[in-house]
Amino acid sequence: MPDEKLLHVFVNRREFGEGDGVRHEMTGSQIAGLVDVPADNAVVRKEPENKLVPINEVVRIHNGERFLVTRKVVEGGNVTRAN
Amino acid sequence: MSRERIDRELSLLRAGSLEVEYLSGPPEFVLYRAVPTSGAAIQLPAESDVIVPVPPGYPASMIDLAGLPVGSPFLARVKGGVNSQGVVQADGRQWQLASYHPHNNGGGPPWNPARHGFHTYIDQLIAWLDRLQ
Repeated sequence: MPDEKLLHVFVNRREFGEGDGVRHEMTGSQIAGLVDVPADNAVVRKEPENKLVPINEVVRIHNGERFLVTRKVVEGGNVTRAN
Repeated sequence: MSRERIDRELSLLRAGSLEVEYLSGPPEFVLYRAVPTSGAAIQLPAESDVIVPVPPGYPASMIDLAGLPVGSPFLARVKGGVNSQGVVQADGRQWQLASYHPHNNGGGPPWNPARHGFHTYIDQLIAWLDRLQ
C-alpha cells in the first residue's frame, strides 16, 4: 500500500509518485505524460466524476486522486504477419 | 522469467485496485476485469472484462489483440471489433479477439519491451473502450 504521507496519484489504475513526476500542481499534459501519451493526443479526466482536465490547465493534485488518460486517436492497427 | 515478469506487471495494476489475473494455458491470457468504458453515455455498461493473449516469446514479442466476451455490445463499437481474430475459451467463457493492434499503428507507441508490458497495456485497453464508434 502507498504511504499516505507521500504524494501519489493513480492514472489508468497505476500508481505514480513524486519520483515519477507527480507534483502538487500539474497540467493535464503533465498527467498524460505519466502514461506517455503526448499532449496533442491526450484526453485527461478525473475520476470518479469524469471531469475533463484541460491539457494546458493547472490543477491542484490531491493525494490518491484518480485519473483516466485516453487517446484521441485509436485505430485498429495492423495485423502482425509471421515471416 | 516471462511468468515472473507478468506477475510483477499485474501486481502494479492490483496496487491501483484493478482486478487482473494470469490464466495459464496454453494458450495463456491475462484477464483484466472491469476495465472502464465510455459506454454509459450510450446506455452500455460502464465497465467490461477484457482478455489479452500472452504472446509466445513475451516480452520480446509485443502484446497484441484484445478480446471481449462473445455477444458483448462493445464488439460492434470498438476499433477492430467486427474483424474477428478468433474465438477462444478462457475463464469459463468464450471470448472474441478483436483486430486491435495498438503497438502496430493502432495509435499507441511502438513496442518497447524495456518499457511496455501488461501493466501499460491497460492504457491501450482503456483508450480502446473509450473511443466507441
